[in-house]
Amino acid sequence: MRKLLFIIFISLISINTFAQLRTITGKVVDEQNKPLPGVVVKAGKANAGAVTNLQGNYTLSVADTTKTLTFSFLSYMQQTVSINGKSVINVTLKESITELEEVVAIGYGTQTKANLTGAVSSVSVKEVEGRALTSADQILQGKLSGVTIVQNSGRPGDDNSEIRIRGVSSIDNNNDPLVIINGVQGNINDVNPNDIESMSVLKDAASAAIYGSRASAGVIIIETKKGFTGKGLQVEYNVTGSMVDATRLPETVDSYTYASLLNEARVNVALAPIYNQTQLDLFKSGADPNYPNTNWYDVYYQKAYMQNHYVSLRGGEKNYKFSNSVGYKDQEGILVGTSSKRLSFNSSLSGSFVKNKVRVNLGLVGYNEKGKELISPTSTVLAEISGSLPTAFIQSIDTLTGNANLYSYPGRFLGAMDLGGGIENKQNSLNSRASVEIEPIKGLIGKVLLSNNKLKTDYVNFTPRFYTSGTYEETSINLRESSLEKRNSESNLNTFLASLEYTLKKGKHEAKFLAAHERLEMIYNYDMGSVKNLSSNQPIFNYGDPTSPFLSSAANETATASLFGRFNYSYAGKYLLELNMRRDGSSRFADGRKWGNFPSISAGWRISEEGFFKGIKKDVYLKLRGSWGKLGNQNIFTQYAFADQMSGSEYYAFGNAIVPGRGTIILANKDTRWETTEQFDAGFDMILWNRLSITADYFNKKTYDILARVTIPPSLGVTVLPYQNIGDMVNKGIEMSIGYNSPVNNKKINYGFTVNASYITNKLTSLGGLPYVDHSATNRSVVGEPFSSFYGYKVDGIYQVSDFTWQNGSDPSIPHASRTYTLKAGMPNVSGVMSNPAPGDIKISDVKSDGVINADDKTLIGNPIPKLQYSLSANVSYKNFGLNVIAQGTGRTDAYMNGNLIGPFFNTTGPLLTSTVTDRWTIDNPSDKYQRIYVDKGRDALITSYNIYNAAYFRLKSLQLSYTFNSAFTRKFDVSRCRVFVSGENLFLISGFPKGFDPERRSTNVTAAFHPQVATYSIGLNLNF
Amino acid sequence: MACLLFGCTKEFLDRKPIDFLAPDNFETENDIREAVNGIYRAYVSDKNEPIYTDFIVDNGYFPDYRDMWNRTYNNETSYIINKWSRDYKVILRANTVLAYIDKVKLTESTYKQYKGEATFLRALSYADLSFFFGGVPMRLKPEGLEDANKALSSKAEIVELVLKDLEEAAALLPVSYAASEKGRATKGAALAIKARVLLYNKRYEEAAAYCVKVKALNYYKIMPDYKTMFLPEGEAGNLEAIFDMQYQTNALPQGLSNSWYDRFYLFSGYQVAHDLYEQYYSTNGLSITNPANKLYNPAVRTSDLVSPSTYVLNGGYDNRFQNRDPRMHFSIVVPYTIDSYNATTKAPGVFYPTDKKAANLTSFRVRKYVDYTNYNVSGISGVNPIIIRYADVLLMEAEALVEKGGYDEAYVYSLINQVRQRTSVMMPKVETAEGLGLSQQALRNVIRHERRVEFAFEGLRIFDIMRWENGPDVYKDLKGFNPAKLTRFASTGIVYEINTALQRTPFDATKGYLWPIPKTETDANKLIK
Repeated sequence: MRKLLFIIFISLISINTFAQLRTITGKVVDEQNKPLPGVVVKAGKANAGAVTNLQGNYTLSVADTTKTLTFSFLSYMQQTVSINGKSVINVTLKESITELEEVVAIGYGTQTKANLTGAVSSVSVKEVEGRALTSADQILQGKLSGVTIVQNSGRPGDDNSEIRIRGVSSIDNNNDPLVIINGVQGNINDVNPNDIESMSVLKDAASAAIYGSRASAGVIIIETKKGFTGKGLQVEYNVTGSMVDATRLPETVDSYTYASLLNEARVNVALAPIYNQTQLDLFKSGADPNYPNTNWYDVYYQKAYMQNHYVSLRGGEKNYKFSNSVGYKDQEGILVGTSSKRLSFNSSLSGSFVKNKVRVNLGLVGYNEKGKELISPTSTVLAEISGSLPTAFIQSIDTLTGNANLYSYPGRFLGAMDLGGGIENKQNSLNSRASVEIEPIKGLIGKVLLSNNKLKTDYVNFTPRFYTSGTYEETSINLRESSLEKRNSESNLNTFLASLEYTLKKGKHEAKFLAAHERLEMIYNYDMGSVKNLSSNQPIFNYGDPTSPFLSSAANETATASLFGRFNYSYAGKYLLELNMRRDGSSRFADGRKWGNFPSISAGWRISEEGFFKGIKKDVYLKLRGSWGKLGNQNIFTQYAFADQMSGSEYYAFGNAIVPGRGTIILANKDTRWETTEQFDAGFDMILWNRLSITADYFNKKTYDILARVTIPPSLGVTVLPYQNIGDMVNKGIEMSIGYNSPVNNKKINYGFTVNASYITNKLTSLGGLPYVDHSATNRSVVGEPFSSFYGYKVDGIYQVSDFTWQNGSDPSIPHASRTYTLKAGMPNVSGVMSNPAPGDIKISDVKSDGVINADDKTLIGNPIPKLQYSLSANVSYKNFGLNVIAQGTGRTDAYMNGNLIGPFFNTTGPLLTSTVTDRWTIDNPSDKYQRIYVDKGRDALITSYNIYNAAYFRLKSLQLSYTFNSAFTRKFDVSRCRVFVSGENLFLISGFPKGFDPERRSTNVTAAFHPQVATYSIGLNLNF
Repeated sequence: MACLLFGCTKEFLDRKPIDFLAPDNFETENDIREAVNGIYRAYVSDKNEPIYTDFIVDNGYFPDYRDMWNRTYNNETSYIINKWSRDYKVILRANTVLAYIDKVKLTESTYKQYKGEATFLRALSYADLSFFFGGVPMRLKPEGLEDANKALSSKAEIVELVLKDLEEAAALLPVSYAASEKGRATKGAALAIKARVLLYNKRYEEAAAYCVKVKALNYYKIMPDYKTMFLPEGEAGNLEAIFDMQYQTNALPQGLSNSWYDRFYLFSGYQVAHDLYEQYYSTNGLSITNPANKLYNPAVRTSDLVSPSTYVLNGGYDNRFQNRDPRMHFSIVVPYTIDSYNATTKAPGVFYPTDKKAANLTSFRVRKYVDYTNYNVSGISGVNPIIIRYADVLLMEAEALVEKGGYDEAYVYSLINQVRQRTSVMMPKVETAEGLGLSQQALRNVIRHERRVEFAFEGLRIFDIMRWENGPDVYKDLKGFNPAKLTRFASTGIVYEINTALQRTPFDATKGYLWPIPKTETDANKLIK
């Protein structure tokens, strides 16, 4: 047989030798102009051809008669080019547009897109290159439908986002999705964005059900870059330099304006003015240090700089592959005194033995981060800044002692920083994993995986000794003792997984079985110690007052054991079916409540494969999908729901010596069980003309047995409320994603775009018989309404002069300031909630229409959960230039903001926003939208719709312009690719949100004091060798 | 390996709490001992207690307590919820000890002590609940979510439980402890609190008898120095305090320091009523409003107001503040007296009512409990608020005898005189100031006045008002010297103008003296209407 083939082969060659031959050369690149090695180039219908080398070049001899060349490469679209007498043919290959053959990571395995039956979205991470991203979740932002990502803040080390997949489903517990990195549960923050190969999001219950009790909030699966064979050794170096600034900062008035308006606000509520004209003039002139003018935002905020480096080394041979990378990020915070330095690494190594029947994978992912903050947590500092007055000084000298370590109260953070104080936070994370796969017969794979994720944190807070005083020349000053506090924690997550997989193909039938056992164990330890009154300004305990040490520890453990399986079946690639079953046991629950079962089913129909369909239209791909599944949530408040929890820090002092004590603080609830989510999903995927793709889904997600903290009688003796499984909630929504890619043409502009949109409604359907549950002073969940809505008084505009009567039958000749206003008869009596209402005050709505305004008139005044969310991403390339744009936005979202800054003279003393001053109600500016200024704690405490703002926004999230040098040029310097770029994050915002505040914020943040989002302007370079 | 693969799942999922010990797992004496310590901790968990109640009656005012002061509180007012929660927290912890103590092997003396302490603290809390709320749910063992619903017991039932518990505790507890255990409940504490409960429930004969039982222990005495009795420096040898809360200086991380120093000195919101200032008699034993009082000189001397070095603690430059009951200067800060010391130089600072920091409405501040050695450091005060002291036992006995009627006048006088004539106070004897042969009503007034000035800011005034039911007389507008008129410099003259700083809602007798049961309780406890 072999001989025969050889003879045929030889004869073919000899035939060709006699024909007229010509040589064609050329280069094959991808859309990024990267050379593609390994592309098969065939002449006409020949079986043999050439393969491109490492530089993407090929040389091929073809017969004269040959009219076309065909270029093919895995996961790229095959391209056929007419020769037309040319001897040089360069080709740009485009990745398969349909992406149908693209392999998507799913739970415990992979699946081709064509065969997916659940709602799984995956993100191409190509655009990451050149974005100044500080955490991996930012990749997802603006790229997916049904996934809400709100960046937490712009603070270095705290830029992780709040991620919500298809809304919220739990009341007081975890709503964060499960993150799986290289097959092991992890934290999205563990990975350097540059290391990410792919990210997929499992949104529906059927896709996520394989993760059972951890997956009710959805799953994000991250695969990091691995080694490869056939491309030699590849080195990549990326560098980015960035300038960072706040997107928006509040603008406050100067001390003169503040002081004059404080007088006005006091007069408005019949209080005496505080400042006389001489003092006001002193504020204006600034000549006297007792009358300062301080803009605390200028004092505490700065433009910051950041640099990011990334080096990787990847490659492999037939039996092994490797990938190593190191990233370094040095980030300065826009808040003075804050910064973060992070060194991250990722290493993976895989080898195969025994004719590829045994495969071993080893991996390490880790980072080492050092963050700095001022002596108080940033949230405290921010609250302080937002409440600091322009009339406060920064630093003074104690007139009695000449001591210069004397700071104003708001200036104390700077003072402590100048004296060497601050918080240093170190984090060391190391995720190590090892797995062995054995494939004894084709299609049967056994796998064992062991991993350990370790996170060690190390916190040091050193506060030096200094003094504060209330006024610049104060005789009685406060001593702030020096103190040192250290905290260490270590958490270990150990995973053990054993699985068996079998794939069977017979004719048009294809079936896949998976059975597995998994164990997870989380062990956490925490220790802290502190001393006071240090004799030396060093972070050493020994220098502390020997009577002052305080120690505290915490430790806990949880474990989950699971058995699960999956069955996939497809017939002729047309009919797809998937069944999942997972049984989970959790150590958190009492015996009898430990185990839960989480089944799911999903099916798909590739209708376009049907004969009748092909007759209708050729270039159409259409798949219908449907799924149902059950998920659990065990990630609840306590590790030991079955036991009365005693606090061990119930100290007492007998005979002036401190002794330990214990006391029950949380009552056991042995009935605590899994929170369960059932989700139904129906959707379709359509691709037209190989260019336009549309995916749409409808889902209905019902969560029941939600653990909520509901009132128990305080006579039981605890004030921390235990959780009880009482809530039901429904999230319904539709989501849609539309993408288009232009045909590839090297000479013209190429472009592509994706639009995502989702609309989700949330409704709390039951609270176990209770009508509502309160979460905070501002938020209440009412049955039949969206979860955690704002609750308070509704405001119908502003009282005007015409609503009142005053002396002498409302004699208009009496000046406004001298009038004693009384509400006209028939106006609702508001005295129960607001004393002495006057023109310019908010008009509280008499919701119950009983003529009296009291607590019964409180109602739901806003929904903080956005219903509509949308995003757009686009890329355009022309010759060597490339442009990437990502934009995103949300529809109407209610945000409640009160407190210092946003409320004028809040709690009688807060600073003032410039906008408050311009728009305020006065007798000459009878605004119907803005109230007058006043000094009244009682009014500040009212929760009303006056403080509800529409946080809808549209934001240009990312913009990147790049230029790639011709490789012919760069190769002279042994550089295979050189790309330069400029980019920006959060460049542009459209929103009706109050000036100075960024609408992208957590809905739970109800004060004006939060870390601003940042805009980042970067330049950078990518080099490949 | 088999275990690693599929077996041992039950063991794998069996994780016991590490950083706390659930009561079911109590094993050693130490477990019980720490659980007992935890009851005391619960007792001090509301750091307003018990002093703040003086600022909701006629002794003072603090803005945050305004609804309480005005009696416009309702069942959602936080101070009402706080008291209820604090008392039941103590009760849960005491019940936990009582439920598990028999499971642990203890020596007889420790068993008696721990059981006595838990019983005493439970009684103390039920007594507090019955004073403020009347009838309340009675919980006698640690109860969980399944026992959430519990009907009210009547006030009489609660009082009976308290008296029974106190009798039992008195039998179990020792008279005293080693110095290292000071602060634990004693036999004397159980007897004295029992006397208090009996008196407040108008069982006068028994009340007097229990006062005698306390005296018969021959352990307590009137301390000569009134001032240091309320400061950390006086704690060690204080044989007048029968039961007090134990705080520790500089124990912030353990939560064992209180903030009475900060509240009274660093903040200016806590204000003393002019009405209380007026109650301090001249040293001749006569009221300053009594025209016969020739010692009281309302004329103001201005010439001495030169520099702080000339000011003395007793307000020496001002005639009004001279020759007054020494307890006035021990208890309150009047204008132009020393009220601070510089943190670095220790130079004294003077209370100028016009100063911003000191601006309050009445021009009087509190001095009792203010430990100036804290030198302007916040939240580290180690002051021990006293719950019951020997002077109270003496005055309770006097009151019980007078209310019962048919008393020995000389004996009652001698009880009051012991309090009046402590070395540092030395106010004239009752017979000297008021004469002999007082009517029952006149003697009652003497005792009531004595309690007011002796126990100012000790959290007792509200109980006195509740049992004497004299609300309409005592819930008055807040008055004080107008601080705006008290200038800092002598040359401009000093004007003392009494102004009505705050108007109080008129006393509503229909509302009664009891507080409403918190809404959080009635919402969740289906057996309370």
